[in-house]
Amino acid sequence: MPEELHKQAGGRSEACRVFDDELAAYLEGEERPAVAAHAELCRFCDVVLKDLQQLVFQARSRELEEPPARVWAHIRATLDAEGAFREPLSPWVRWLRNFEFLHPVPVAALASVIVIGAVLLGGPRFSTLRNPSPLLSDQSGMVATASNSAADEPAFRQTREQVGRLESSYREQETAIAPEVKADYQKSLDSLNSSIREAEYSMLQEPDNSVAREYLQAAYIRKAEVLASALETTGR
Amino acid sequence: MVDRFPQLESTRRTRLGSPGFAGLLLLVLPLRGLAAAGPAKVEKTIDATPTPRVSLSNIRGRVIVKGWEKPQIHLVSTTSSPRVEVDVEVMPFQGPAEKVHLTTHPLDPSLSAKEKTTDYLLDVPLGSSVEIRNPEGEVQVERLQGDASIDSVGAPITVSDVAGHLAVRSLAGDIRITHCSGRVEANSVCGSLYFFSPAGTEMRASTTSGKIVYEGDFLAGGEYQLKNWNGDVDVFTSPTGSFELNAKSIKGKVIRDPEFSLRPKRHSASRLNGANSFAGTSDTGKATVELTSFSGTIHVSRQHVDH
Repeated sequence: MPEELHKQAGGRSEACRVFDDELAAYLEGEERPAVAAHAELCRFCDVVLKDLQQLVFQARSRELEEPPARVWAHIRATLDAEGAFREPLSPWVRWLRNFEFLHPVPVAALASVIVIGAVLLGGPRFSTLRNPSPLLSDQSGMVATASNSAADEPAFRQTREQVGRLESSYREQETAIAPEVKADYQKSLDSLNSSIREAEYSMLQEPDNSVAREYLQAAYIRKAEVLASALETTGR
Repeated sequence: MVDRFPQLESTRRTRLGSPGFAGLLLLVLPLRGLAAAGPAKVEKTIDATPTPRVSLSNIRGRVIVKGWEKPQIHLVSTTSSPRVEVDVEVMPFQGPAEKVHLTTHPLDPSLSAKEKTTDYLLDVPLGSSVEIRNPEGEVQVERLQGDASIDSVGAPITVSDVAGHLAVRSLAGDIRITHCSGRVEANSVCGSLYFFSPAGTEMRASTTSGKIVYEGDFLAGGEYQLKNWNGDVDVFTSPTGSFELNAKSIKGKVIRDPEFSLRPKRHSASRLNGANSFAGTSDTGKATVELTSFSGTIHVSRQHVDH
């Protein structure tokens, strides 16, 4: 029993404590004469020293084994998940990433929707909206002769810019999304773009159509959610 | 050991599906274990409280969650590749689980979509609340008294007999909800929404290009908002039900069966110019129903008896 052995060696003395303190350095090759000297006098500490020296010898004599490929794959997957291999992101996306602690709520969606929702719902009403954005007009081809009053409406312009920035970030990152997932996102975006064009065209015809305005607001918010959700997917 | 891995004091983690690495972890982290190897079916049973929170983050594959009477979580996972693991995190460390997090974990980012596929079959206590993210896989949830939050990107979601707050989102997949009695929120962009025998009093549903089908009664005190863009909205309900109806479509039509004897509101003139709308009350109007579409057609019809 080590305890008995220790008692035989005269119990735990101040010299034993010094031995303990210096043992690790001694085993690593440092000059610590007190360790060897104390081991010759204390049977318990001598046994401890010899055991540890044997362990060090055994460890050094073993060849280093190459970990299986699975271990490296796991390490790589972990690093990849932590973003170690990711290409630099745009400032917009990096800003959105600051909110990832809110996961699993789509963080980017949250940030974007807060901004866009605030602009749409809290800003000036779209009462002066007469004209879809030039970008959307070009896509739809339905309102080529519209006036330019809508493009000047601050809330509308701000919202369109916000969504446009999200879309640009998405286009930069979309190659990182699995093809089938990307197809679903694209299908959703196409549907929402179509809805936005339809609502804007409707408002062009009926400027005071409050339901069309609500639909337009909802479509922009939904589009921001979809884009932000897609951006979050690229960050996983 | 505990000092180096303090999180292990309150968390149990198990890694399923990777024998080599899990074996290594057994040496390093005694609180991690190995359940099975390779692309195979793995089963695990976890003792739980009657109301645990269970979250699952999958990538692709089918997820089925069913409530049962036992205070246990029974997990069956089937991976398609040995380079995919299932991480199981259980909290607290000792005693019945209050939280269980399941995560599909591909070891190799270059795995194909098919190789990342993992199917799950979960039996959970009836009182469980679940949160499921399965971007490219079908999700089916049955018989829960807790809350359920379900997200998918392109796959269908089917939910039945959930009593807690139900929040379901699928961008492109259809959503089918049957006999759920809690607050229901269902959102899609391209998918259609189907509600059968609803048993709750609060429902908000919206989709952009999908259609909405509602089959069942509107309960007293309930508020139901069904909204889409260019799909149809089909409501099949009892003509003698007690509800107040507001139906409007900007570009489409509102069509109701003649047997619905709805009393038009006194000031039911639509605020939409040229839109087709109807506002009226059936019986004493105990429920509030709002049906809105941009260019779809809204139908209000008698509920089929065989449903």
